[in-house]
Amino acid sequence: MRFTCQRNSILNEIANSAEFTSQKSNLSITANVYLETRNDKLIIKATDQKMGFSSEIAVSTEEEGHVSVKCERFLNILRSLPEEIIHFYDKDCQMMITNDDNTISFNLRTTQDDFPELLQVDEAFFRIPKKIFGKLIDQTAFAVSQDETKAYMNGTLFSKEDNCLIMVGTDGKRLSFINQPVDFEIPDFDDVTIPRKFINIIKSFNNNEGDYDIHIDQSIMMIRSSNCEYYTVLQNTPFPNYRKVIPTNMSNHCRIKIKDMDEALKRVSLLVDSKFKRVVMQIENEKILISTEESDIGTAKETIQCEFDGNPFICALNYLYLQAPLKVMDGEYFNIWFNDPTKAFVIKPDPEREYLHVIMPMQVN
Amino acid sequence: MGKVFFHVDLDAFFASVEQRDHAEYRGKPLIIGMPERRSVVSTCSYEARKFGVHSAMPAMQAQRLCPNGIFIPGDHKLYQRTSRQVMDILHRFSPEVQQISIDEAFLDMTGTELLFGPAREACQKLKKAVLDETQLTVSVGVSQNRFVAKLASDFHKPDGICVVSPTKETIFIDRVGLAKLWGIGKSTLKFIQEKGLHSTQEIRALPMERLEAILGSNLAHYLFLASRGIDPGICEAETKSHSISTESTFTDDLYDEETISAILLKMATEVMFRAYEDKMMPRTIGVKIRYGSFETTTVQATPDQAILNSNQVYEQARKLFLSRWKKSQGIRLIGLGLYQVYKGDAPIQGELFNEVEQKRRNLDQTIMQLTKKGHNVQKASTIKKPDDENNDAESDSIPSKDFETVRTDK
Repeated sequence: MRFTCQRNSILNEIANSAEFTSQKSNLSITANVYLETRNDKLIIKATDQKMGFSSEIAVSTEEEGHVSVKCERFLNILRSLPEEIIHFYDKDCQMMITNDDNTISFNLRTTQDDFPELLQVDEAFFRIPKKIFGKLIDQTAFAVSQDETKAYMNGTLFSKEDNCLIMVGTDGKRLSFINQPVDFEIPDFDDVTIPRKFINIIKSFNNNEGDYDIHIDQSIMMIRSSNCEYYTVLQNTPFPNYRKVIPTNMSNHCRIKIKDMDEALKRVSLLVDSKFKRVVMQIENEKILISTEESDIGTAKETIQCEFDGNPFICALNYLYLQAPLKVMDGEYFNIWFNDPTKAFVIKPDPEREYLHVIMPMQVN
Repeated sequence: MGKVFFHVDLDAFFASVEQRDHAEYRGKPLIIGMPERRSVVSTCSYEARKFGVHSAMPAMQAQRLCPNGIFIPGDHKLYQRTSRQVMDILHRFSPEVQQISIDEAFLDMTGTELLFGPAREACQKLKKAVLDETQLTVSVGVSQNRFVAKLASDFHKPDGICVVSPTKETIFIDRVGLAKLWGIGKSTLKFIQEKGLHSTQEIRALPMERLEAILGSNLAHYLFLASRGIDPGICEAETKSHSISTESTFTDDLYDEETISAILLKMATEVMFRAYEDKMMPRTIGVKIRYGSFETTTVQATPDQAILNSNQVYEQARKLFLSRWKKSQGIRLIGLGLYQVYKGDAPIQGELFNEVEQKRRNLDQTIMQLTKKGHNVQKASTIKKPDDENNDAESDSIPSKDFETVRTDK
């Protein structure tokens, strides 16, 4: 195999493929990236056996062939090279990487083991604008559980109802929900939970331009986008019954400027207890006092304006659970809806949009 | 100034409570534990001990040794209540009381001399308070560390006081003797003796390297310290964060996963019920494993989800246990603890999907309330099958004392 290409064009694809390799075992073939030259194309493949990635870029092929190399090392080499034309060829179980004037050269050992086959899907793709799919993810991904023992919450629920796409993320303490109407045809599919890692990859690859072609069935989700396609195997773990925990008939609400709350939380959280991250909110007379509790490191408090005409109300919550949805909220104002300081609150933009966020409070000392 | 620890031990606790409340038992050989297959003696009066009966002995054997003994099932609710009463008294003598079982506790008495007088005088005041208020006697051991204090309380039992001054700890250890050193069970003693070591003096005479070569590093380390009257850490000092824990030491080392799981389940129920009782919520679960070789390992986890019930404690403890268990080695001790415990009846952070766990918590608390009212209720999974043969964890309804149970409230 022998080919030549611009350093940046291969670097981007190898960086993307690295997301799909397994870094747990550097000895495994799944830590490798597969490179194959055919005509004037370089085919790049990577898989950790649960997810897979393949991509094609234009190169100048001098000799067809294929190799697989440790992805991380290859990526580091590419990153280190100057932005110019790079030459690649394999010889005696090594891939030679040199710059144009041959002043830099690397001999990277290749692996002889067979590279695993990637899963193939040839039909039943539907089209969705990247901007809309990105919005579903942005509004929910941050709420997904990081706890590996809670497999049923380690991803976002993706479902379709009538002509709406629904996505939900939760870690059991907060929940983010979006119900996005769409004006294009989408075939029916059963609810699936998209794994957290795959969601994060989609988010990082998304440039909000153009469309995705998506295939979903109960075992796989595959995305095609311009020159690449990537997939994840789906686990058949039922998502919690989220509808049951989204409160309805909330009687009280407090209208606050997003920017005011965001900045107040940033300041007050400087002295928040690092274990529980608890802040107390006292809502009274069109003002909210946000404060931390007494601790070894000190206390902080800030008062901001709000619109509220109910009885004085005190509650406590993990400030991150409020800060995260505010960061992705559109508009200037939001409402906190509540009934009881021990029951779930609902955070909605004002005016209301397609999404809402549910937060379980903490005990007030 | 050196540290001063008291170890306070209620004398023949269950039997003494029964003899206090029932005149007809006084002066007679009273045995707590019914003479039935697999039942063991929880404790017995000093009159029964004269016949060779002792705690942890199979009750059938106790009956053979003491055919005229009075066997009763015991009233564990009453013992719990009385224990709390005694612990309340101990708290008047020291702010640092570490209860290690239903009938014994360590008191850090450092710096209390101006309040209660020298150690012996303080012991007398403490013993008098317990006797006046509960009509029960205690034995007190005093030393600059918990290990020697524990041995000392046993030295002049019953109703005794034994103060071991810092300069006389090795002499005291020699008088206690190897066989009665805390932490040395039958099988360990046999192992040590088979290696040709029969006394604490012989052990002390050997350098550490030689002792390690003979006994293995864990046991050697333990005996090297213990034979010199230095606390080998059998009862770890209290940590700043609150914890609720329990430990069981087994007469015979355990190898069977099912038996160990049953013990963990019973321990999980015990510690969680104590947390309910004290209105405490744990954040962390920890497991301690000590093998026959004295090699000890501990492992902890802080689940993301709130710990609401004993089932969660058991599931997590079992996972932790399996992550560290060396199947080829017999287990002499298992401990289970709840750590980072905070005050409250509900978790600090609310949960959206905790319906099942909350239901299990309610079930736990119902069982606890029924048990308090005298009903003998157990979760089905904690009831022994009729053909269970192994010596596993004790329960109030199935008295079993094949092993020593150490409960620690920190």
